[in-house]
Amino acid sequence: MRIIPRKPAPSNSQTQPKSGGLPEDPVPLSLKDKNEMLSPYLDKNEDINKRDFTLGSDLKISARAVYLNQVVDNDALYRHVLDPLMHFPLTVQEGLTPALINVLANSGPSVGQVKTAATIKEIVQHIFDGLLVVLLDGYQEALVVDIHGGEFRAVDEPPGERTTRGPREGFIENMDINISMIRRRLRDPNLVVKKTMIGRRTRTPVAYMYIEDIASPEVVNNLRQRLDAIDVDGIVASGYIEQYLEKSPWSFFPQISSSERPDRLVAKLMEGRVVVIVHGTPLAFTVPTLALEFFQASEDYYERTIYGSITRFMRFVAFFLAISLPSIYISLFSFHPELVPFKLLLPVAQARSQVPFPVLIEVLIQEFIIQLTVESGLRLPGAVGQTVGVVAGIILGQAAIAAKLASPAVIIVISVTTIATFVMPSSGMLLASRILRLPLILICGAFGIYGFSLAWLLIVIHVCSLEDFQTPYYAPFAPIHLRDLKDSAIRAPLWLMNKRPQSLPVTNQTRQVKTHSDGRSDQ
Amino acid sequence: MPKPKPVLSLLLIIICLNTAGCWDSKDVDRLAFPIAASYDVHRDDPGKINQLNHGPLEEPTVDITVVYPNLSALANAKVTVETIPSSTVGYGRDKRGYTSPDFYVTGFNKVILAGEDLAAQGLYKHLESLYRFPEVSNNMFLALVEGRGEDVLKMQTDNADNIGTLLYSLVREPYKRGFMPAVTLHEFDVWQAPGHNPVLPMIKQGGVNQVFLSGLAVFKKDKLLAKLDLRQTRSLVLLRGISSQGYFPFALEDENKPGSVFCRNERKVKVERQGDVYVFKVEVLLTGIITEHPAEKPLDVERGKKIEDFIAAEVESDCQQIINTMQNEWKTDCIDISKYALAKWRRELEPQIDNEQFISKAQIQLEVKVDITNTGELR
Amino acid sequence: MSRMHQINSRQLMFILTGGQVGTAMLALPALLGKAAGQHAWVCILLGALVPLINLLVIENLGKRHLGSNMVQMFQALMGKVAGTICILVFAFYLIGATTVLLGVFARLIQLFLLPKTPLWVVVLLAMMCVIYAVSKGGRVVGRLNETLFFGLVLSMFFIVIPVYYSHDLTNLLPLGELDVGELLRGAFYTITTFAGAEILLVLYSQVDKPEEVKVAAMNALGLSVATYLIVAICCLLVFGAERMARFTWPGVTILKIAHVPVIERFEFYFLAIWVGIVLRRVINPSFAAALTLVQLFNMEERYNLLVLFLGVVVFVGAQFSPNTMGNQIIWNYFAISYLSIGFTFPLVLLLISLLRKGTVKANAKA
Repeated sequence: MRIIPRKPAPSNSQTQPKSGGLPEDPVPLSLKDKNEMLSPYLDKNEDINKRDFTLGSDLKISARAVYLNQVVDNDALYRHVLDPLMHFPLTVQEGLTPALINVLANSGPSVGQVKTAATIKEIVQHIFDGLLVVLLDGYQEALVVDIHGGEFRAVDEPPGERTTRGPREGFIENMDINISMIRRRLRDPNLVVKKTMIGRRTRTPVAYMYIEDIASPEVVNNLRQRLDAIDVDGIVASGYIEQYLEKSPWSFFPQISSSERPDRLVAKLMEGRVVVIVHGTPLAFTVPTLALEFFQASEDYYERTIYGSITRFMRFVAFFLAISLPSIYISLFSFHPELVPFKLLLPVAQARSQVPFPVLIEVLIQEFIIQLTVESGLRLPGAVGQTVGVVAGIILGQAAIAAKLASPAVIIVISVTTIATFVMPSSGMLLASRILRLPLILICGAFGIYGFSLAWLLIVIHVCSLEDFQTPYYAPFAPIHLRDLKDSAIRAPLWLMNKRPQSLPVTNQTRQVKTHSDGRSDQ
Repeated sequence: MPKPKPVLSLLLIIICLNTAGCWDSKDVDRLAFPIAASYDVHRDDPGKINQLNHGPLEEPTVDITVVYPNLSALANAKVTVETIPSSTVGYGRDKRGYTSPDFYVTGFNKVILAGEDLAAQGLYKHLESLYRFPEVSNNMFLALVEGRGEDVLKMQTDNADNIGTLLYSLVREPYKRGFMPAVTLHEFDVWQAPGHNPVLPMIKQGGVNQVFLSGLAVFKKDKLLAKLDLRQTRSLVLLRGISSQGYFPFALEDENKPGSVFCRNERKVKVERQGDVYVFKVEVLLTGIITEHPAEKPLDVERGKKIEDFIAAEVESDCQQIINTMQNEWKTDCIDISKYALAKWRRELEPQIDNEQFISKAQIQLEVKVDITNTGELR
Repeated sequence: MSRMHQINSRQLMFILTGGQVGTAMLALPALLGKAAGQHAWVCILLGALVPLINLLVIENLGKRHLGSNMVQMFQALMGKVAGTICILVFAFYLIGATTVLLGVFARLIQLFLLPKTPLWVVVLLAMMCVIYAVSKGGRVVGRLNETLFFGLVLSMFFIVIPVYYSHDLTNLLPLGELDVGELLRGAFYTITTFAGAEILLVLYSQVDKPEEVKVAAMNALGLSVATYLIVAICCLLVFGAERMARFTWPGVTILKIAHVPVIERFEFYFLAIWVGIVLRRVINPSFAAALTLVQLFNMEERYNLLVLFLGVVVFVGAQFSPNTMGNQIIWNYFAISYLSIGFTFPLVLLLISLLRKGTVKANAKA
């Protein structure tokens, strides 16, 4: 990866990353000159509101508030900024001192963050970052007030990760609200939130969070370094950043896991991971990532151990089926019919004898159709999507059998495969299984079960070779961490997981002292 | 971030395309999978194809008949039964290429029938190609046909899918229905070892389009030695200790209303050496429940004992007869006890264990124990 | 570079087991049955003494030369020229062993799974996997071995199941009729299956905690012995020594007797898992050979290229693998070359090390 050294951004958004050649000149004193100087940057945009008013009840100074329409909170603007400023009891003595701006900043607007800015570059960037800038006549420094507001989507149930027993809160597009959702659940003073900005033009705020005394400092530093190295003009969603961070971009496997549930992310933080939240995306991703994470759902931990274990195990089986069922079908019916039970073989063979295509082509056609159905169903609105699914699933399948274009067996195989695909709780592994299926189908079409074995061997070798943030992707299976197997294909009772996962680099291993159900604890 | 390697990827794709020859691909709808096959001594019939010989090495000696289902829904017959004369069993597959439009999957076969006359010649050389052929599974079932296997396979059946499936279900688990073993290729092979001799279930045609298990064929290694009727079969099965289950009738002397008992069997063998004589103590254990007792007298402990004694005596005399025949006529260990002697003196006995003298000189002490554990729902 | 090949002691254990358990074990019961009858399994215990000594010698040697890799050790003890020649012989032996094993494996696959597919295709596909795995370095090979070990456990279950369907305890009896000559001949055959222990010589310097090597090596040998014992005893129980000796691959034939509903044929499923296990037997010595050569020629940056080159050599070599009638001869040559190279080299090195202890230290200081 190409590392471009750049100074890490400080936590507040005062940082000035390289931006499209704004002059760093100080602004002139008179308001009129200021307006003239700023007009090339502001006048071409019609969504920039400029409100002229006079500051002070006694001594009156002309001023202008500049802000982006619907990005600042109008209520706060009128009540807590303009109103106090307009009625600010200003004496002549005060008005003539250069310290006026500090007086105004401290006792003017009754809102959270107020600061000052003096150069064109600062002022323009603050305006476009969504802050309110108050320009004063006769004073060089401008008042910058953070009254971010405007319309946001309400906090809602996360559509991609629904649970029946867990909390119903999901992330929204506003980073600060997302951070607050995590903060509210994890009130540890050691939870550190760092912010930076990525994208020369989009200037997207990105925050990363970790628990200082759990997360490995190397991982945090490495992440910071790699985030800082991203030098691009725009980041539209967190998916962009994930792609810049991935170490093996050509792999079929997702190497960064993401979630839209704050409760899940809190659990991940407490395992020593670092959470990255990108403004504008209702998702947060975590590093380091294990393959295992894509098989874990938050429901596993909320339900009782037995239920959680069974569903977890079923997911592994489903993943295997999603990748290999069509290729097993091909291997059996096109290479090793001896393996098929006698009573099954005859009906399948009789049905197949009326289909004009070889087994391989038959599977490929059906697979293609089902992939199309899935795609169309995903993008269409809910009710229509369901209808398409039903039409494709039942009517097309029946019609294909009736028209002798497919045998019933292949329809069942492809349907089961598709269902198994969507058992995966995370979209990353789901896509991986959808793609991996195809090479397996092809290699089994050429070499039967031998090809099947080799293909899986290649997959295993590949997965073993993935490693990022000092964490082997395939842990705890290889390298084996016996302790972590408690939370792998099964999910052991929570009161048995005394230590944090060994697979992840952490500085603090202990999660709990052993607690007994009668209240005793092994201190 | 690693750079894409277009040349390497292209090379891999080219290699993959070139290797994908699909040499072994055989789609299931283009296969002929036999369910049952029979081997008989070759007989010249006008109906057989005799023009498939390539040369002098191919004088037909064996007739191979196979049954395989027709996959086409439009075919009139459910199955194809065809007989191919060939010099050997393995070479018969060559001829199949000319007669059958589909690929013939030998490995799928479930039942092998051996004609009586072929079995008398020795069966192993005909089965050898099956043991060698990796496609063939060793759990194919073997049975002997009284008469010619070909005739059984060509029989019409109305009560089953076809004759193949009927035979398959007949020979698959007979030990669960009566005193009859199921014998697979594997067992036939293992019984060729020193100290062992095989038995095969026998199948006979009878009635109108009916087949039934008619008894047991006793072999000396791979050659047919004798055919046993069902009563003798029962005794031999008990003596060999093949675990099975079935009914025994009884009739006590003070009543002439016979009843029956359902029994499972078990066998224990001990061997001792007294000078040159090997003494085998064979204990046959029968555990059963009374299934029928229509007599007027109540079924009490005493009567139960009498029934046990009656069956024990019957079984003992039957088994003793078999032992006598075996020691005096067949002079072959058909009850699989020599292995216990081998387990003690293998190095010494292995060369001579299959000699006729060994079993004829052996002293076989038989003890039959019957244990009735239940009387059913009535007392 | 060194971290790329670093393994832990558990991985070492699985690599060593994986380096031993391969195709030969499927054929082993037949050879043993012929040589030692019902005592076939005793031969395995006897034969295990050879790798036991071998492992202990290498472990001792490694302990004496902590911090130096195999190449440095050879050159320090035998001198630059002789050391280099010996390393080349050793590497050549490893490559040769890999080639032979791959050839036999390909014949087995052809026999049971793909009778009409040409040999070169079967070998090429397998070789692509091997090259990919080896090119990823020791750490990945270690992890792969860990994962595939579960495959071995699973395949052992497969081997045990037929025993339920057909077995005869008298096949194992009597125990007392031991004949030393027969046992020794049997033990000689087992040496083929135990070859592979010598890769510890290469791997010793890559283990993160050398003090754990001894236990790991012993465990590895224990696992291999247990595997062979399971196969041999199961085959004996099912077939008996006399019938067992007639098969080419009794370890596969045993699977054909089980009659499990739904899973009609065991051997196919077994072989599907087995492919991974056998390739492990090919991957491990290939990796050892590649590592040796890389260390010898100091070409860490060209590691992948070297692996590719070795892969091509093995691929070409495996084309000349003889048919299964020649298996017995191959096993014999294999056993002899293991004894004369894999077993003897470390032994000689240890002797030299014991004799020249002072001199070597002086050299090292210089």
